[in-house]
Parts: sequence; C-alpha cells; structure tokens
Amino acid sequence: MSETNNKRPSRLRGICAALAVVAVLLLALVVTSMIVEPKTNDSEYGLFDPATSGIRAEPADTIDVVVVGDSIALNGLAPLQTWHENGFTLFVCSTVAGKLPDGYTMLTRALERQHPKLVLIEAHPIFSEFTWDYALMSEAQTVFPVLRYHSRWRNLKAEDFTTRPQMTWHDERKGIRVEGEGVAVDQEALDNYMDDTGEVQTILPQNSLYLQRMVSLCESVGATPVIISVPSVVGWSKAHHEAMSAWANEHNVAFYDFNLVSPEEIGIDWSEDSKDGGEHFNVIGASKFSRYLAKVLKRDFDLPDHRGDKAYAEWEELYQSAD
Amino acid sequence: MQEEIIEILEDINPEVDYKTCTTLIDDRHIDSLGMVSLVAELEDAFDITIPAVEVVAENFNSAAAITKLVARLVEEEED
Amino acid sequence: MTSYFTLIFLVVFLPLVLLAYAAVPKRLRGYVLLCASYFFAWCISGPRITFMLISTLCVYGIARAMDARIQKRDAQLAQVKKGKREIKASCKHQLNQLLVAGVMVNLGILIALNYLGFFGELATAALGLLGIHAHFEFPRIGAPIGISFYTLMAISYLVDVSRETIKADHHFGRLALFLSFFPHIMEGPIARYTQTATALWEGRDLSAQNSYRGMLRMAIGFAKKLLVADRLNLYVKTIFTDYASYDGGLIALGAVLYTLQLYCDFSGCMDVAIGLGQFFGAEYPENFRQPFFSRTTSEFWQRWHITLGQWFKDYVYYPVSLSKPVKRLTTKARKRFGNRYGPLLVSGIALFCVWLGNGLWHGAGSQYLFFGMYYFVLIWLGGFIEPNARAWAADHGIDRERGAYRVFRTVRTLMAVFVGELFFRAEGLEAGLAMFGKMLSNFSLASFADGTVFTLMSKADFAVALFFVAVVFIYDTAYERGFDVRKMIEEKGFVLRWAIWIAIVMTVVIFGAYGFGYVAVDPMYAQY
Repeated sequence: MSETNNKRPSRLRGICAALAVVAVLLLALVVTSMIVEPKTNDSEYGLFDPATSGIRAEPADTIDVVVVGDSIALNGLAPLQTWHENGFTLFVCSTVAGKLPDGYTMLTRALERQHPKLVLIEAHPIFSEFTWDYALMSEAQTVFPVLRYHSRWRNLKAEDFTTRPQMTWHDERKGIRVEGEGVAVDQEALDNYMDDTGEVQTILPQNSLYLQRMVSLCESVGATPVIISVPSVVGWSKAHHEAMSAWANEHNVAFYDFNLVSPEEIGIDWSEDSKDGGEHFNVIGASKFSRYLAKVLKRDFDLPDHRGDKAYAEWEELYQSAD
Repeated sequence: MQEEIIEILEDINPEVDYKTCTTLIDDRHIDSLGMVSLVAELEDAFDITIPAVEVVAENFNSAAAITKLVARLVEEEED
Repeated sequence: MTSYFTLIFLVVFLPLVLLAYAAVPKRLRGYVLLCASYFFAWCISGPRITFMLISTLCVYGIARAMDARIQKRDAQLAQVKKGKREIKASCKHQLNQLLVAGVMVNLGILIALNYLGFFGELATAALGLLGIHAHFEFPRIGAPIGISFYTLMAISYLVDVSRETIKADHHFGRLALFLSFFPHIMEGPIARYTQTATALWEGRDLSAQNSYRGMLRMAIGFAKKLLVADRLNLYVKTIFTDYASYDGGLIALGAVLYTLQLYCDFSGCMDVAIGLGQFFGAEYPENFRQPFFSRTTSEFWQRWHITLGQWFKDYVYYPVSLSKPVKRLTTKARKRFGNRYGPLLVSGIALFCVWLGNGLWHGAGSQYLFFGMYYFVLIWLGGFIEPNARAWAADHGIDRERGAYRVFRTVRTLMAVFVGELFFRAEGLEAGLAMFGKMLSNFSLASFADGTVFTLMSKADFAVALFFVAVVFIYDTAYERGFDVRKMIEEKGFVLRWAIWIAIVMTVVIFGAYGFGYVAVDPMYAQY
C-alpha cells in the first residue's frame, strides 16, 4: 500500500482495500460452495448419511410428524407401520452420533418444504457434548457448504458446474435404519437405570442454546415441538430425566419420557427387542415402541388420518411391499 | 597475538581463511565442539579464564574479535 | 478453543484481540495481550494455569533478588581499590545460589507434573534389579499447556540475568507476557528474553504491512498442516497402531510419511506462531531451516527445532563443557589423545547431558530416552568419523559438497532421521523395536504392487499429499538457495499479493484434510 501525506484518504483506502479482499474471499467461498454442493440427495453425492436428506424429496406438505435425533431415533421407529395403523406420516431426520447442531441443520432442511403438526426431538443428543468450535463450524458450513462438502473435489462431475441441487432420491424407509438381531439386556442394568439417585444431569449451555433454537424454529412454522426420550438402558437415567424435565418446564415444551413407562405397558420384551443389549431397538422393538408412541400421540395431539387419500398412496404401497 | 590465535584456529578447522572471515560462528565454520576446543586452547595459551557469558557470536565471529576478547581478559587478569 | 487451528480462534478470538489491541491506548496494549494469553491458556488448561503464574512469580522474584545483589556489588566495587576479585567472586557465588534455587523450583514443577510417574517406573525397575520390591504411586495433576516451553524460557531468562547478559525486568507484566504470549504457548518457538520481551510489551502499532506478513505466514502454516500433515495422518495413524498387520515395506513408508507429517505439522504451527507475532511487531526466531537438506545428523539438529537445540547448546552444552572439572578433563585428554580426539572424547559428557535432556524433554517414556540416546550415539560417533571422512575425500579428490557424494550424505542422514522418528512415534519402546525389526526382516514391496498400500490411504489422498509435499519441497529449496519466497510475495503489488493469499486460503478450504472422513489432529508438539 502506498503511503500518502494525508492520513484520512490512506485510512479510507485501507478500509476499502480490506473490504475488497473480504468480498473476493466470500465470492470464492460462495462459488466453490455452489460447485461442490451435492447435486442430488442420494448416497453417491451425500458425504453425510444420505438418510438425513431423504425428507427433501418428499412432496411438499405431506409429512405430519418429523423426528430429529441420533441413532436412538434411527433405530426406534417404524414410519410405514405407523402410517398403516394410524394414517399419519412420520419421517425420521437423524444421523448416527449426531450432535445438536447437526440436528438443527437437519431440522432446518426438513422444514424447507414441510409443515408438520409435530416435531419430536429425541432427548439423547441434548446431553451429548460438543464444543463451541463445533457449533461455529456447523453454522459456517451451513452458510458456506464448501466447508462441509469440500472433499468432493475427488468426484466432481460436469453437472456440478452446470446444475443446482435437486432432490431426487426418495428414502423408502422414511429415514429409519433399524437392523440387527436380538441381544438380551443386562437385567440389573434394566432394573436400576432409572433409580432415583438425587443427582441431576447438566445440560451444557451450548446444548440448551441449540435446543431453544430448535424449539423456536418449530414454533415459527406452526409445528408443536415435543421432546421425547425413547427407552434405552444405556445413556439415560433418572438424573437425565430430572434435568430434561426441568428444562422442558422452564421453556414450556412438552416432554414424554418413555423410560418411565414400564416395558410391559409399552409391550417391550428387553430380552429380544434390542440389537445391542439395551441401547438401541431392533426391528421388533421399534415396531412395538412405535405402536405405543402412535397411541400416545393420537391421544394428546390432533393428528390427521390420510388413509384412503390418493396423495398418500405411495406410503401404503411401500408398507405393503416391505416385509 | 592475532597470529598465534589464527594458528590455533587453523588447527581446529583448516578450511577457513581467518584473515578475512567475519562469520565464523554465524556460518558455523566453528561448531560447538570446535568452540570448546578453542576456548580450552585459548585459556591454555594465554593463561586466562573465559567465562561462559563471553562465549557469544560477537566475540568469536572473527580472528580480530577473538584477539580483542583475549587482550581484554589478559588485562583483567592483571587486576 | 483448543488450538490455533480452529474456526473459533481465527474468526472470534484473534479478531477480538486485534480490535482490543488497536482500540486501547499504547500503554495498555501489553495488558490486552497478557489477558488474551492467560485467557487462551485457561481455555485449554483451566485452573492449571496457576502453575504458569507460579513459575512467573518465582522467576520474577529471583531475578530481582539477583539484581539487588549485583547493585550491592557494584556499590562496593566503586568504593574499594583492592580486593575486587573477592567481591566479584562472592557476588558470583550468591548469584549462582539464587540461580540454582530458581532453576530447581521451575524444573521441580515440570518434573512433578509430567515426570513423576515415569521416574517412579524407572525407580521401580532399578530397585527390582537389586531385588527390592517397591511401588511408587503418584497423583496425576496434569500440566498446563506450554509448560515444557515456558519453563525453558524462564530458565534461560534467569541464567541470562545471572550472567549479567540482561538486566532483570522490574515490570512483572512484561515478564509475564514474555513467558505466556499465546502464539508461542502451544509449541514455541522458544524465544530468548532479548528477542521478544520488549517488542511485545511496547504495544507497537498494527500496520498493513505487518498484518499482511502475518496473514501470509499463517496461511502458509495452515496449508502445511491441513494439506499435508493432517492428510498423511490417515496412513500414519493406522500403521503405527496396527503395525503387526502390515509388512516391513509399509512400515518403512510409515516412518517416512510420519517424518513428513511431523515436519509439516510442527513447521506449519511455527508459521502460525511466527505470523501471529508479526501482527504485533514481534519477530520470533525461526525454528526450521530446511532440515531435509542436512548432510549430517549433527547438522539436522541445527536445522530442526532450532530454538530447542540452541537452548541446550547455550544452557547445557557450553556450561558443562566449560565447567572447571570438564575443562581439566579436556586438558588431560588432549595430552593423552591429542588435540583432536581428546576434546572429542570428553565432549561426550556434555553431549550426553544434552541428549538426555532433549530426549526426556519430549516425553516421559522409555522411547524418548531411547530417542535421545540414539542421536547422542550418532552425533558423537559422527564427530569421530568426520575428520577421517574429510581426509579420505581430500585424498581421493572428491568434493563432499557436490554431486553423488553430497546426495549420499543427505540420504544417509535422512534414513537416520526416519528411523529416529519411527521410534519417536511408536506406541512405546517395545512397539518401536518391533516395528524396526519388521522393517528389516519383513521388508517387501509386495504391498505396493498389489494395492494394499491404498487401503491405508486412498489414491486420491496419496496424490494430493504427494503434490503438496512437492510444493513444500520446492518452497524449501528456494529458501535453501537464498530466495526469500515470502518476502518476494510481500513486495508484490496489492492485487497480486492478496490474490496469492486468497488462493492459498481457498486451496486449504477445498483440499484441506478436515471435516468428514478426516480426524482432526491437535498440534503435535503441544503435548510437550
């Protein structure tokens, strides 16, 4: 930069110069983001679990319940069964080991074209730690997708330079990834995990912040946020319940803790309904739990019944063709 | 005095022109081992003690600098 | 905030510090940096930063006590005509006592926090050899970030004050900032008091020129770390954890790739540290000088982690070599073995002390001890071979600095370095020995031919890594030939130099080994 005798123009030049550099950098970030962003939402392009993107291909305004969470949610629900038995559509937007910022991102994407009645927020990620840097990176990645998808330099195609993203892949399982055989739970753990110890788990400030943002986001699109805790012997306890309960009361959000409902009432048999001895359900467990969950949701909320509606024919077809 | 010092230097590393070089330390013509030997021989030859604080580049970068240091220490010894 | 290589450091912490620095009057800027530094350290180490404060207080107090004693001596000298030598000697003696006290407190804290467990193991093993059964249990408190770095800086400050090379600092804040400044706290460089203390506390104005220098240097550092080091980690992590599953050829490649990873990680972090210093007008010393061009192992350690080597040279090697008992021994040895081999033999004592210290400084474990002794042997033996090699080459008319012979020397040195780093990285001395053994006994190129090598790191990642290693090599070669590449860029016009900076940043954004599919790697020397 050249020195001038007069200080003020030099300073003004300095600021203009800095702004120019920042502008070019931002432009570069935007352009590269447009190029590397996956152009469809299937596994070939998605670097994340493509399951998180499935909802974007669903016809607009057809999903009644969106579920956000981590692997507990991925393994705990049965959307097609719920459809067939109750007539409302449920879609799961979760990723394995997902942290709250990821859940928030997925929820934002899900609500782009959907106006669900309910958003079920699975509670386990609320207690999963993440750093402020992780949160900041997550926000930055939302603004500049190149920070998330930059590794796609390995498999760029011609379409990447010429087309915009299109959501073409329909997730026929509606977001779930249930699997596995039955592994019996440890009986002692089952008996004791919800015992009252007097302790209260901590919800970290960053987790609370993101949960609040999710709740606000739901309310801004007219969806009712509902926090749920799917039964899981690992990673949940009375201490977690107390913390979640307190938070939910303070922020006026409904909270259903299914760990406090006896397995008999839900219909679960822990000796064969879990794929890993108590942390995640398998297909049978998910089916049983979903049945109970649907009953509770219908009792407490006003959910539609689309059975017979031609617009939802695909759901019935998928249910019939699945085994 | 300087000739004697140059003789000692040439014994340690014969590949340097000590009459002209002024970067003996900076260009690593004398390495750490060479320095120790040099200090030992200087102390022996001139009956002085070179304290650690004097073992710095400014004092050893050229034959002239070394001569200056030795002369000063010889004088201080007589104190 | 865990390191410089996080978004929160780059876009939140650093801009806020710069803003605060620019906003406050000049005399308060040092305090801004001091608060920022302690905040940064606290984010990483929490309450353990108390130890850093204790070390600072100790060193400040002792240096001032030394200063007082020196003033007293000078007053006495001014008044008397005779007996000056006794007055000087008495003062020297007391300064040494103060120095020993100060060094012991600082080393004591370092040993207590980092080394008790390992020393306990050694003691147990040693006593076991004598048939004595003992078991030492030590509480683990954990050390604050940078303890191995600021402890050496504190000791160097005390020694320099005791030698009267510098005056004790009466300003506690300035000394505290010198020791704790956040750019150097994670991995150095290990600066001397005269190099940075005044500049940092002065609160020099920010300038466009310095800011660009800093940003360019930092961008280069990020490039080295994210484009090369963190990418190579994909291969390195697997081969060192699971070496038993792979043949000697892959292990050998692992040693080479680890050395490259360590170089790019560490020198990259140095670029960031030095660049950060440049923002504030402080010129930190370089820590690397194109180490892979070294002809001997001794030369390697003058080009790699330079400030550590110089610290050991100035505060261990020379004090030991020039101490009275060792000097006497040297004289005797010269008479017995001649002027060449006499000093060389005795230098082993000082060299041993240096490498014992250097090895242990890197970690409390037997493989670090081995690492130190490995280089001790190589460098000491090198001293014996060197004059003979020189004579042999002269006799045969071979120029050792050029051509095939020069290449031979460099390759030989690099191989010694790769082996050294293999042991350094291995998960314990046993694993290191096992890997080394496998490298020799099970060496094979089969895994390269049949593609097994690409199960450790994909072809795409190999290609990118190799490409950027080549770029780093060209960059280093330019410096070796005397071309200051950064200066050349800094002197270009506004558009070109910022275009270059943006290009570097965007290359890191696109090709960096971060995010999905990669594992974030904390700066590797920060654990010391």
